[in-house]
Amino acid sequence: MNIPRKPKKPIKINTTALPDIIFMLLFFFMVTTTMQNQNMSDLELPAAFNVQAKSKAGPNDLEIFISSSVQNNLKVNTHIGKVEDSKQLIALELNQMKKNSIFVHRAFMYIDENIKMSSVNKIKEELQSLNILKISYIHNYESES
Amino acid sequence: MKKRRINHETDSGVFADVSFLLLIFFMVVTTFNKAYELQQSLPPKTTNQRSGKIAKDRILSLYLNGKAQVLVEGEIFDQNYAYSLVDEIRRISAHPKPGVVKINMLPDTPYKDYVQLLTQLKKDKEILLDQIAQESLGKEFTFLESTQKKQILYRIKYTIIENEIPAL
Repeated sequence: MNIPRKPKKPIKINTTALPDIIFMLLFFFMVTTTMQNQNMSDLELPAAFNVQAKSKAGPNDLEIFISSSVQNNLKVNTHIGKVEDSKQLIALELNQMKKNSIFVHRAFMYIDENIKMSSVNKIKEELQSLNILKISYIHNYESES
Repeated sequence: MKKRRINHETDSGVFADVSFLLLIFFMVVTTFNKAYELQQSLPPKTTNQRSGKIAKDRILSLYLNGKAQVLVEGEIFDQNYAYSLVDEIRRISAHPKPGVVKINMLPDTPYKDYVQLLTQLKKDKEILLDQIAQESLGKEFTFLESTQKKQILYRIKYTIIENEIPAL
């Protein structure tokens, strides 16, 4: 029997959506791009209140933010206040964590670059007196050689 | 006489090519802001403070003045320019007892200067580890076996002491 062959149809891929995808990717990279800076003097530390996205802290860790741009410049996990009230703020947060049976192991410090060391040392002393002895300073300066 | 109609349609096929070019450019130059971590272990708080003299060849005193300058054994270095603490770390490591790095700072020393100094110490320690590994085993530190690494790490041991000097 002679079976009639089907005529071969050329396969066409619809590329109309391609420019849209490319535009989306383009906008993403345009927005996220930061030009690399090799100058050591331009050390940029995270703006203390905008670094949650980069957080390395776990559920057992304390996150301390010290900012130079706002009046209430200290944030301990969720509690906000001033550096002068660091003792109360840390105690408040620790009590809340204790109620949930969470015992703090480490404190992650996110500090603006122009904060005076007297403020940093004050908080370190508070942590030391509360027996939180492991501290991690989070910064943007490339330290891995 | 009738005027011929002009076709006002623009060819959008080039858009994709231009976008591709821009996309590739931004993909190449993009760097994501990376967060680095400097770890520190504090000593437990004790009421009785130990006092005693530390041998001069065991101690490295660093002074931060709050103007991005660091005083190392009588010599001032600008933190914005390259300087090295490798020789100083080697000096204090030569002592049989662990060395002491004493960081003296003013209350108004910016946090940035402090982080830069800690980073410098960390980097220079890594350089010294490489130097000693090359001298004694002829290899870079990273290529050593874990027991060999431990031996070299044992040779470079120091504690950091921080001291806040009251402002004049």
